[in-house]
Amino acid sequence: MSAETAVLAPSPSHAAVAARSGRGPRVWREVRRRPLYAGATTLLLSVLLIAAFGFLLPLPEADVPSLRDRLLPPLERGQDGTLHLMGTDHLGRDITARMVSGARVTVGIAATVAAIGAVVGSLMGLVAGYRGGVTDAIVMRVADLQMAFPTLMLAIFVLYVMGAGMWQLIGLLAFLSWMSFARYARAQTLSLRAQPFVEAASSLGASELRVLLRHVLPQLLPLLVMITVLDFGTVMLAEAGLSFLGMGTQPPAASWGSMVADGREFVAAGAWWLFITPGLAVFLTVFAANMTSRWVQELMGVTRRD
Amino acid sequence: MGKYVTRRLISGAGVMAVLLVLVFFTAYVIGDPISLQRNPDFFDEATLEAMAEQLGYRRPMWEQFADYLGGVVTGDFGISVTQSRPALDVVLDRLPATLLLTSVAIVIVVSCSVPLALIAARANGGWPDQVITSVSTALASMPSFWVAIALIFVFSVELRWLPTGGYGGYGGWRELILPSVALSALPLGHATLVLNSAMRSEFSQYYVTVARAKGLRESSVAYRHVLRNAALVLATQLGFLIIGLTNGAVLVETVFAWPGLGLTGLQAVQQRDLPVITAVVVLTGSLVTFVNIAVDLAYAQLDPRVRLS
Repeated sequence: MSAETAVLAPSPSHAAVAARSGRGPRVWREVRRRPLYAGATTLLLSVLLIAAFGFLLPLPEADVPSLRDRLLPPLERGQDGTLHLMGTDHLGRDITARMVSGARVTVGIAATVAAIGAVVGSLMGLVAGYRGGVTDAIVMRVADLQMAFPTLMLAIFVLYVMGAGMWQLIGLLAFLSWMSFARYARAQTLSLRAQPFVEAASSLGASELRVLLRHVLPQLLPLLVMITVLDFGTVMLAEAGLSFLGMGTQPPAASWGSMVADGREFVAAGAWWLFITPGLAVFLTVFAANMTSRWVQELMGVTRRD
Repeated sequence: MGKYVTRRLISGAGVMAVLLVLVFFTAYVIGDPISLQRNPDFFDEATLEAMAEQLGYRRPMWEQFADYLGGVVTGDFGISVTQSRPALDVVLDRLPATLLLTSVAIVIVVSCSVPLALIAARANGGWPDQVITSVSTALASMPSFWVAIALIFVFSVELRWLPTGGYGGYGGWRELILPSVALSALPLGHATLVLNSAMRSEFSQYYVTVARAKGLRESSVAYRHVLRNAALVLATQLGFLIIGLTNGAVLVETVFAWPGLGLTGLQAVQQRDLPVITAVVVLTGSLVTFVNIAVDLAYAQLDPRVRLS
């Protein structure tokens, strides 16, 4: 990705779509044309909804152990007759309920971090690309430096010194995720800065901030949306990895990564449902995010050259 | 070329300098190494304070920093708290296992991603392209630690074909199979996607049209012309691949109890063994930086545009 430049260009499909009129039919046509992408986007939106409103679902308590119902396979009923759709874990807690409360943590962290990264990174990239010179050199050197380093071990080290926990994890992941936004935003701003409309705006007396936010930023939005969705997936994998190592949310609260870690102990006993479900949830969500970002790329006519 | 080498070495030294300062400030300023050992069952506050004084943690910060830098330069990271021998020895003992695992993973990733990307690019939109692209995206979305556990469940617990973990040295290929597959899955997906998009853009270049127009067979267009140019993209990706593998190795080594740098670092964190943690972070960082420089220099050798710019 050394020649990481991104260009906005109307792709043929985009032009063809733009030529048609009517909003409703267009959406359906795109959905029917790309059923896999549409399915992925639906899945991603459902996961976000479950993370946000899952606590409203009528599920058993996620953190209350029930030692008589330990390690029940999926679809079994507990002593008190509750149906455990995804089974129970080693402490007899309902896995469905833990999945839903874990979604809040895992998806919440990934979304927060992606949002912070998007805002901070884009602003850095905009300013670096527009100002050029020393500002540009400093921002891009720092980004290169961070990208040229295996950060997981360093992250574990920092979390160990600061103490593991959700807010530390969010801060650290945000610190590690602004670079790709900065690089894309900078590359775009560099090419937009030479455009007549930017010169026109600044010669009419618009301030630098106004030019950047009102004239340059809107041009970048499709690309930034695409990268945000992509980054959401990357951050989620990192969060899951660190939680798996015990560096994220602390027990008894669940996150998908720490649930896989719990389930790992019972693999030899054949209790596959403990680790399969949370890992599958991470995988499917990240896959959905990657596919959605590709759809956004196609629909908005963003071409990305790596 | 000489100028390029100098520039690249300076930037590598910069990365190392920032890393060293970062490690020092994290360990010595945010959390003083003695308070990391705080455990009311073993030490009272007065003993801790005496220890801090004796070990030199109450000296001015610049003095400690100079001490630490001098230690790093001479390879002296201090004595491991848990093993009572030099931290560097502990880490160097574990280095071969990590090198073995990551090199096998690199071989897997490179030897699979190149043909897959080429098949997909040649099919351009056809079903092989769609299948390969979707599968690669799926691979690139899988948490490696989860893949590792799933492999253990299927091949060790259910089928009983392969061991659940451990390390058999350089001849122990049975122990090597599952960890290297788990480690290479995600980077393989990434590499295939990136190479595919690179090859696709090569196929739309004029030289391909020229080659076809002069009547070359499609296979020689692909192998002799496109593949050579796409190889340059592969070279730029190697650096990212190595970083990805180093990160992934921490997780995969943990699952398979593979005695490499990743597992050592994690255990040192759990045992609060600061000298070993510092040695792992600094050593991993220098290795990756060194390999990155080597890759970049090889790349500059291949592509004149880079060394002349």
